[in-house]
Amino acid sequence: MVLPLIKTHFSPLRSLLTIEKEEKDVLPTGPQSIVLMWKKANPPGRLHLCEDTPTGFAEQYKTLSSLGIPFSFSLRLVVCEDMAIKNEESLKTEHKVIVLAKNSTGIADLNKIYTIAATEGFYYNPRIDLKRIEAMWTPNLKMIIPFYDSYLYNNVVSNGMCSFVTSIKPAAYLSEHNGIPTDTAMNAALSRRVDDAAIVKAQTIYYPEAKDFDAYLTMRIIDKKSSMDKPNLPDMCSDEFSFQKWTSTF
Amino acid sequence: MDKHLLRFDFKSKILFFDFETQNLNLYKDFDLPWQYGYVLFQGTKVLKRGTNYIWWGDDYVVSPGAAFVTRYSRKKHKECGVDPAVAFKDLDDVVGEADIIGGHHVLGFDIFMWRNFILQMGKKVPEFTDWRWLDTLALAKAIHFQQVPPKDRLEQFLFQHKMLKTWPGKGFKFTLEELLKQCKIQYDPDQLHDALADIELNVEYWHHLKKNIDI
Repeated sequence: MVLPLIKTHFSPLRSLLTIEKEEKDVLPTGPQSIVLMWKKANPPGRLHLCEDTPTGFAEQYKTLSSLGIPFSFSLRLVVCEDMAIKNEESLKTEHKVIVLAKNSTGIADLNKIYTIAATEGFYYNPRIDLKRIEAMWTPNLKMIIPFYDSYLYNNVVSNGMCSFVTSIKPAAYLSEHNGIPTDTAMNAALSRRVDDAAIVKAQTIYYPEAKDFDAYLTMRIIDKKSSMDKPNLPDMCSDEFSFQKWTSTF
Repeated sequence: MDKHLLRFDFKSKILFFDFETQNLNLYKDFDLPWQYGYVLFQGTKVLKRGTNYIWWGDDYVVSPGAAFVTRYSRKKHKECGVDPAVAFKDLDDVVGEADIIGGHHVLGFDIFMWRNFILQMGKKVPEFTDWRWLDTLALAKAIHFQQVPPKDRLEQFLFQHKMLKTWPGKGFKFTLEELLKQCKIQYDPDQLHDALADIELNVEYWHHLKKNIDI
């Protein structure tokens, strides 16, 4: 089973997916509701939300619970070497981790971590260091290492100088394959560096279908303040980060 | 003699290719090539060279920026352009002969354009790691940063990606033009950004580069 990592519009300018629970609230030519798509597809397992902020959790909880859709909530956090250091060099130490809330107390713990990241740690984006996460860590949380933008990915494929020294043992390292030219090699690199038993197949989901990639790319270009002729978005070539692709895996 | 080094390898067939495209978008719906050039060589011996202008139809538009840099001529494009299927087959055939694929910034751009071309033709995208890759921009940076490429093919592939994303700071240029000047390779500036001319110069630069890096 491929783990779906769903981002919604509560991660600003990173997803075309919304969470309306009724068809009448969705325009056929507008953003589509992942809740309605999930209901229609009726897949096994949980709907895994993996957001950049916790701001939508209350509404997501209310909607999904009312429909009886089992789900989990996680935050994709930007982690750096030392959040007190705010300069260009510190950007090279940034990478991402996914922190999953195991229960409702975990949600409260996540909110506390995010609050520090968004205030004390903020530098262009909310971010936090592993030392602080460790200090705030509870048994209600689980850490997962994403495939893209992890410390491994940034060190191996990009110019990152990321360290991952922590007493928190990641529950899993995620593996994805979305047609990006480095995916195969990066998966091989992951297998060499991490115990295979810890690797879990996943699919990040930003939009409903491949045909929606044009709209997704437009949104990302607006956010970047670049242009269609020169998007300046590294590796932005794949239309496979879709719910449609994930449903084809089962 | 360290036989694994390419400077001593006279058997492997190396294909360098270069695409001229509509713009710098990496997605197939927005960027397709209008020309490609290639040179297939073994050691220093050229086995094949070729170029094709690809005519996609009257709706195909090259961005003003790309047109300026490449000295794009729509008249020439239309006159010389062949059917995409013909151009694709020619490229596909020569790729099939290659053990190694290379080019300047090939891993940062041309690999995506090749992918777009394949997808547009409705074919299956191959596993890129079935070939060994040589990105002369990445390798020039590796020399600058005194980094030795890993011997393992997959790690070498990723290493070159890392080099492409590593910047040395102001004052350092790694354009093909600049690198050719540094190693005193003569060229006609007016010929740059024609796909075949670019790739022939790139191959000449590669023959100089391989002596200075253990790959």
